[in-house]
Amino acid sequence: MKKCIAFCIVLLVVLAGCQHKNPNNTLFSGENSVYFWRTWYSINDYERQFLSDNHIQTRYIRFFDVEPNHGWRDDDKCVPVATISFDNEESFDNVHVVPVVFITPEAIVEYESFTDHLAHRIYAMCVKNKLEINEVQFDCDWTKSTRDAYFQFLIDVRKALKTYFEKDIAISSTIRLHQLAQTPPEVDYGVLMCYNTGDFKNFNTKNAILDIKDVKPYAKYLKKYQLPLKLALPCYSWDVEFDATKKFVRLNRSPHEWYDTTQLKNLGGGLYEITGDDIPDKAVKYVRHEEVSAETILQVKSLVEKSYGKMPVVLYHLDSVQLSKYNPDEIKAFFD
Amino acid sequence: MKSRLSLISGILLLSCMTAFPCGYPDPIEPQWHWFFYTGHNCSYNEWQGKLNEAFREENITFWHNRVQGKVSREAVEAALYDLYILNDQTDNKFFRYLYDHKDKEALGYWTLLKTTDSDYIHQAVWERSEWYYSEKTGERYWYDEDELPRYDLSISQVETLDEGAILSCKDKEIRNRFLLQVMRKCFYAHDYQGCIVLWERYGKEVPKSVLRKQCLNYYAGALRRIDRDTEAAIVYAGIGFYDPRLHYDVEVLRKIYEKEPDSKAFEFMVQEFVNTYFDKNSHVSYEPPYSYMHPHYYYTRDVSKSNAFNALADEIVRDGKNLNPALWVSAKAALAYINGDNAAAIRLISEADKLRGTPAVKDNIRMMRLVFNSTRNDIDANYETVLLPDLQWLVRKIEKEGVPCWWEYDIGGAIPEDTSFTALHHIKILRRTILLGVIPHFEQRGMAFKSMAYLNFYEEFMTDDNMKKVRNYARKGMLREGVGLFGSTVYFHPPIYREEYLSEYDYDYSNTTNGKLVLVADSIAWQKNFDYNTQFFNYMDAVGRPDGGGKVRPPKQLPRPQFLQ
Repeated sequence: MKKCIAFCIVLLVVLAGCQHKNPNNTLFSGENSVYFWRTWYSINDYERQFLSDNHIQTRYIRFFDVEPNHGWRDDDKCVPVATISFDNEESFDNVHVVPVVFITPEAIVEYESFTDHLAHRIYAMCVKNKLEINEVQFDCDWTKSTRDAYFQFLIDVRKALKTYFEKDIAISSTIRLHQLAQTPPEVDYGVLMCYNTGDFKNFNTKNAILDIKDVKPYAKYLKKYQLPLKLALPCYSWDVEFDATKKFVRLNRSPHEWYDTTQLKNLGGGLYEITGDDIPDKAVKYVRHEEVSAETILQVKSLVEKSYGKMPVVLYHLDSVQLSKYNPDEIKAFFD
Repeated sequence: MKSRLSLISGILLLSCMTAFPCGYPDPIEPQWHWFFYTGHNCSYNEWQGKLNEAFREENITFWHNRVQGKVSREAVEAALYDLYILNDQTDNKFFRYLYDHKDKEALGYWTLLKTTDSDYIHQAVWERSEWYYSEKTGERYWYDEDELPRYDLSISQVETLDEGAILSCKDKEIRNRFLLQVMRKCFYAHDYQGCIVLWERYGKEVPKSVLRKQCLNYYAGALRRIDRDTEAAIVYAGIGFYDPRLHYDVEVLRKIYEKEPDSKAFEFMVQEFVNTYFDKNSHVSYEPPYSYMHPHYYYTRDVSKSNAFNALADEIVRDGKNLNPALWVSAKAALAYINGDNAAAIRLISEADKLRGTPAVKDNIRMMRLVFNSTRNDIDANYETVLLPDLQWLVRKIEKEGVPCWWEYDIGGAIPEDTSFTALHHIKILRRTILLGVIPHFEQRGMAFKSMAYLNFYEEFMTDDNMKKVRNYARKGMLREGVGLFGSTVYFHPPIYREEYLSEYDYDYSNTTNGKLVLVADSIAWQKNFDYNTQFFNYMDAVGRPDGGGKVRPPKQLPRPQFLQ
């Protein structure tokens, strides 16, 4: 009996150890969320209705990117670029806004040079645009070589934000699939990015936005991942263009006007050969149109939740053109 | 001595044979564009700068006229460009005039502009870090993105600078100025679609002017930003701008021609087309029997592309709507030459010379003719007679222009960014003609003296101080890089130097220094009257090489060459 009790105690301890970290309830209220990734914050009627219909209270808004300074001024090693502008008519009453800052891997190694600037800039943007925030999210494709810098940055920026906002500001971080294999960053929670899973420059890639085959190898890490997670799912499409030698030409985020059957020969699997003459760029011979079906999104959602458990969902991103490709039931299923 | 001379001649010939193995190679600068008659002085920033400058003048004149010339031009300029804040307390004479004369439309325009103008924003935050973001509503910040200055205009005032401002303005002239400003705002706010719509809605009312050009510049820029490249190219062509960031293939040229048949920008576009064709079809091989010191340069041809261009050129010349037909035919000649059809190239360049063309195109025709003729094999008897008029013209042109000081920017065969480079281009044409045309021509016919004479002339001509700098740099560059792209005289030809000055026309081929053949000639004559010396070497070649060394004494007085008379 004693052995049995001891075994039970050990089992409980082990199970407790395997539990994911308890999330902060205020951050994890289970509400539906979207990313907003444009440079001009303006919402059209469709998007407004979408937010309302799906009870979306949290908007992760990309504020700006940080990258190495390639300009002629050498005052700063890294600079903010593509800063969002806000439509003054837009009200953020009763909206939970989370500023998101994307930092390139090249910039993060120089984090000491900009951490304080960055915190002040987020503060200034919030003040000027009358945004009440309690949290900031950082997006960085860190790897083993840049991990230490990114993790230290997260610690430092939390302190800097507290100084400017004069209160504790929660910190979250995006988590890419390959980052699951590593120690999680010291943040309040992560958002698992289930998109951009493939190499879009490769002609043989089937779907670089999301392919369940690319997700499966990482599912095992989720079982023991020691960080509360939300799940970000893709609702976007793009065209990947290749030349006659199947070499990558460009990524086109909006479908071409000439994207019709008279100009293209369907080779199957979203791949088209350009046969017509009336095309904007003669260098392009093949186009791979990529979008993700609701079925695939739900399969991936099921796969990762099977390993990790239920996760609040964040859709990437709020764009009427892209979101209108999914019916309301499908959207509802993404969030459920 | 005879055997030594034969050996040297043999080396000379072998060297040339090795360097020019396939008819029309370019062992000097494989990426150097010889179809180039004017510098790419239209890089976007430079062109934009000129347009802005022109607009500034036009703008000052417009507002100066608006106040009936009652305020000095300087005061108008100061009001427009130095005064950042406008209010009714201003003591600026220009604005005071507008207040006093109740010019409400003008005041409305300036009140709005002075609170939104990006120059003001720029000036106001110039010293600030790019991390700066004002916490105050109403202030703006500036930052760089994509190497273009962009101004964040997300403030309440700017919102009023919209289509409503255009519609509410009754004064047509100011209304057009509002159009420019609103388009500008849309462009910098990344609202490219908005910028396009505005022009398509109101642009027809804007008369031909610098203002119209400015509007079209934003319109084309917006089209380019949303990947409507062909349309952007057409609009740019209409205002005489060639955008090197766009791709100008035959189809694009045709579409541009349909809309803008006499665009000034065709010179740049055609130049770009030919040079791109050259780039894509010129190759280099270092595989044995070639090497890095003696590479194999050769061309391939893309007949479908050149045929398509030729068909378009024929159509354009036939139509008569383009007032620069010589450009199109000379481009056809260039393509024929690259394709290896020298006879067609010669015929076409002659045709082009008879057609109407801009001075730059006419100059280019002359230089191309020189290049083509220098490699001809069918004019042995009067080779120099054919060549020399153009060669002399080119030499005098170079002497007149002097040697450009900007040569360092051109190392590596990059396309010059400044018209000043045309001077350097002329030197390159000379080098190409002498080293790839004339010298091999005489070498292949066993006329070593004539060959050396031209080489000596070339070396002599390059003794100018600046020329020396260019040449020395080139040599250092070659030593560093292993393979020279520039000034490869020394490496592709045996080192032949004139090292002594002797009066008359004595020369002593028995005198060698450090293994180099020393060819002595009258340096003054070489520089100032090289055709006379050419005559001398004609004579030398005619009498043949002397046996057994010793001195050859040609007649003291040589007949004056006939082609100079």
